Amino acid sequence: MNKVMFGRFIPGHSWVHRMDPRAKLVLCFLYIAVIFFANDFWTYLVMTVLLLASVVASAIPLRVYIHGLMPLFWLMIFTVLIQVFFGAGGHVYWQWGWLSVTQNGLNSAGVILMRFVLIILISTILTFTTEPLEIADGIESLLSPLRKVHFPVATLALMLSLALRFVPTLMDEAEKIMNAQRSRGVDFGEGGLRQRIRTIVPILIPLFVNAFNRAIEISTAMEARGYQDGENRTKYRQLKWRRLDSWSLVIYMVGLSSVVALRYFI
Amino acid sequence: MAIIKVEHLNYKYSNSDTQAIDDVSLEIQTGDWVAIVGHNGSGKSTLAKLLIGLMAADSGKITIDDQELTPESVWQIREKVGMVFQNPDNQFVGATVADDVAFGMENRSVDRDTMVTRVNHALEQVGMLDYKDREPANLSGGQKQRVALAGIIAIAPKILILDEATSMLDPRGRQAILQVIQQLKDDLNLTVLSITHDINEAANADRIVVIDDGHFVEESTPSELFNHGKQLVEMGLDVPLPEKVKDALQERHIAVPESYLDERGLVDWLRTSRLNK
Repeated sequence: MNKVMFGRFIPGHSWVHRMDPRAKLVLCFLYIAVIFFANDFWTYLVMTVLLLASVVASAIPLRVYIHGLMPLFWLMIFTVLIQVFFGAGGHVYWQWGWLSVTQNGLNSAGVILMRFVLIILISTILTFTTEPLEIADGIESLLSPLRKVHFPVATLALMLSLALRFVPTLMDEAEKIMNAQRSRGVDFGEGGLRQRIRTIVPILIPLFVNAFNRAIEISTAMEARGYQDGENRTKYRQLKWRRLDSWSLVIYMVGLSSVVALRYFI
Repeated sequence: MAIIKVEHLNYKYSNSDTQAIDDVSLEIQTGDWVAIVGHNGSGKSTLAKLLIGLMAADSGKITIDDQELTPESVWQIREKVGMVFQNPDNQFVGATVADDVAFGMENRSVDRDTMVTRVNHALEQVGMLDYKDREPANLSGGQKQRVALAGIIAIAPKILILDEATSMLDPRGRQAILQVIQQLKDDLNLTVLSITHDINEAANADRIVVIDDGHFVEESTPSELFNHGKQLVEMGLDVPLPEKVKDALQERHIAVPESYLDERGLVDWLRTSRLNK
């Protein structure tokens, strides 16, 4: 499980690391939204330049990002092949039964591959340079206008941060339960599908039961420490918007709006 | 002055036939360290939870710091009481050490500047300042319990309840925690209520309350209680080392003093006894 780079956080002190998580979240969302406006060489060039500039600013080598793409390699191949063989229209290069390679098919395969890679890379920049907690803080802060419509933002934020805090604890516990079951003769990863599903049960049930017990204990401890509800609390962690964030926003806005302009006005 | 007053307290779990707490009355004086002992399932933890209103008693009256515990006053009472639980993992609410220490203050709407200074101060007291930005997954059990204590120091309560807070720690971690608590108690005139099976923790206490099957059995000083010898095992406590030595000597037909000796006392007695000649 340690091999998966996707969604990981890599500590560092680069420009992107020091940015406000709110800025990073907003830029990431804007970028993904604008990707769907890009449709030709020039627009994709702008998007790629923007992305590569961000990769350089993150001070994480490009090969680490490529490594992060690896688990999704087969998915990319699969979608590209579907586009190539089932695309219709335009000049027909090759045909065999209902399979055909056409100009439009190749075009849309290229577009989809580009979008796929760009979306994954931009979100990887976000997760590589931002601690999960910061992401949670950022989401809370961005959602805070929803308080006006009585959406429980603080409660959601607390749930998010508790969930994140318990991820490593529960991972450890799952490992412990697996080893305990192994020592009692349960064989994981052996046999057919049915057999494999059956071996998951002795991990899942203790894990769930323990999670319930944990939830009870942690809620008791929270109550004993004076937790009443999400609102009316002060916050220890504070986000700070700096000049760096404003400048990144400006650069992105210039790049992204030029993409939209290229698409509609030129 | 009695800071905790419990009168004729009763509590029964809905899925059980017997009383978890059966007509318990006791008084705890300000500034005392009181240990509550009893074997597993004797109702010690239930009593602690009733004291801060985490569960509502069936009948009886609890008064803490001249304020009666009612559904209305429960949050005011919790302001005065800090509680450390048994499992260090399941009471760590914050994402990092500093966040966890600040949690109680956030609940009390303390402003941020005060929080920052108090977090630093509290972490320094328990010797965890260097670990401020660590996440709980990277801490040992003893360190997590120290952080839990720091969270309580930050809110400066009048009463500290330890619900088997040292039971999952190794002997060294336990000793360190107990020293920190002793220091706090001296500095802040804190009243400490510790629920424990640990003989050293009980020996440190000013008074010991014994509970058995939800009944109040006796309240005495450690030396009075440790005179019970082997009976202590039935109370859910271990026999202290000096008593074990006395027992072993007695088995070899050597006359030993009747009254309880602490380790110091035992050494003094051994030095002057005829065993040395």
